[in-house]
Amino acid sequence: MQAPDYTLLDVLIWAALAAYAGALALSLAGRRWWALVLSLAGVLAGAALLGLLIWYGRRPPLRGPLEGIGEIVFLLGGLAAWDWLRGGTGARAAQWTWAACLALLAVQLLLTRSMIPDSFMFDYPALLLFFQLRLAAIALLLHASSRHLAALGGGRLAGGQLTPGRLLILAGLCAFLGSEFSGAYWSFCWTGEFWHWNRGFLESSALFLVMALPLHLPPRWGARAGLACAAGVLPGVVIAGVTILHQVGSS
Amino acid sequence: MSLWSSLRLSLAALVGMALWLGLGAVMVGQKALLAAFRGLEGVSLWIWALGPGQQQPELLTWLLILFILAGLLLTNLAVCTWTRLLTGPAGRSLRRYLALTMHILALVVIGLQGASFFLAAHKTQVRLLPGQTAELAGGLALRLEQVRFTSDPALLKLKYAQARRHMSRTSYNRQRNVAQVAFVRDERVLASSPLRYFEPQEQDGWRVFLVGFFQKGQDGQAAIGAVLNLVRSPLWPPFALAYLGLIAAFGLLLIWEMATARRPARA
Repeated sequence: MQAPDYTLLDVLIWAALAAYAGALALSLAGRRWWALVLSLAGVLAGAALLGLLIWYGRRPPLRGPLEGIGEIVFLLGGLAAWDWLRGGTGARAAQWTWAACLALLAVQLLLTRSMIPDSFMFDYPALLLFFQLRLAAIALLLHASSRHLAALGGGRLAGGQLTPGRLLILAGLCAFLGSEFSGAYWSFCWTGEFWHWNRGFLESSALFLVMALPLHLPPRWGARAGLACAAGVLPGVVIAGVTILHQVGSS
Repeated sequence: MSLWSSLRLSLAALVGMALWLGLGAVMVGQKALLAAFRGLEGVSLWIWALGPGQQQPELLTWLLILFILAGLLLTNLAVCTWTRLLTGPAGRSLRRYLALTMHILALVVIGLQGASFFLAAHKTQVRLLPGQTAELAGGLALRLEQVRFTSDPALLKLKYAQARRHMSRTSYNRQRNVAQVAFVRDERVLASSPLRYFEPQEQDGWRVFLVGFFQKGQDGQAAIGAVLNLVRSPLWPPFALAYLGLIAAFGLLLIWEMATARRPARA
């Protein structure tokens, strides 16, 4: 593992923050193409941060404020740029996602930023998959929250307006289950147990149930725009909140 | 029947159980309860509840309510699967079959997870020096034949948190630190093989896992031994299979919904 240049990493975090703040402001001012340019600049800053983290650690980012949030913001930036290009409800979702990126980057700047110490296990594929898929799940579910907020912001719900959000929840669930299975496999091959009575296991089980909530709304409740959107927002907000609290607690 | 299969009950059970698990996660964070939770590892919940659990009323109550909520959720899941998906009036679409498969696999996964709480047959953190043996069951035993440890033995003297910081990929090569183990019965060697991290060996339903190494004695006459977990875990293969099936069903549902989704209405 190479010694990281934290000043350079901080510069990239501030650059991403400035780019997403600019993209959000310009999008609200109706400057469509400048907003796109700045959002892509944010994605580029995120990609550079990620590239440096991989170079320094000789492995993909895993967890913690620097690595975990760094990768989530990069993925969110990509999803937001894609939806901004599609326009309509997608463009409003992109604005919410840029706001989420700003909030995450602010949290990142407030917390201690350092790469997690190397471990002899960090070349084990199931471990890497566990962390990577968890980060992907958080990004997908947070963008699903944006999609639901955007649908609600448009007033009455037209047919199919919640579909992209629902698809993102399903994709997030797939990534989350993949992460959980990788974690169970890692745990089993190491200790012989595929679960442990610890904080991570209890939190993950609770998170899975929260993700299942929007998929089990009674039809009458699902027809109410506010309720359906609130249920769709919940998984992303909860998983991001729990993950940040977990990492603050264990750091 | 309609009450037991209702989506309102599903929601109530999901919310209740999520909050209860969240409370458990908070409880684990309390120093006073952390040791109690650790006491649940590797032991059947029956044995724990009738023995050491009697001294832990908070944890015992939490577990009891958790199992009541889980029972409610599983009953709802099973009845809902039967009445709505298996015998219900809905059409025979691919989506319905996928939803049915997902619900059945979710039942299997949660059921096997629950069963594993009660079917523990583990000997964890067994510390053996070369030549020492650990008894298993039915005359079967595991003998540590030798240890090949190529890293700095000073790493083995570090406390847990320090060890985590210092055992890096360069200072601690997990492939080169090996324990040679043999399954024996009546002094007859049934199988002998090198044991590495993440590469368990199996004999007659018992699996042996290399968890770490330890050093006994002072510098001149120090001996290095292996820390092993000896586990009978018959539920892992069906659990893993059902879990992979569940992920595949979710993936197929996602692909199906993406293919059939209408373009979102533009604002």
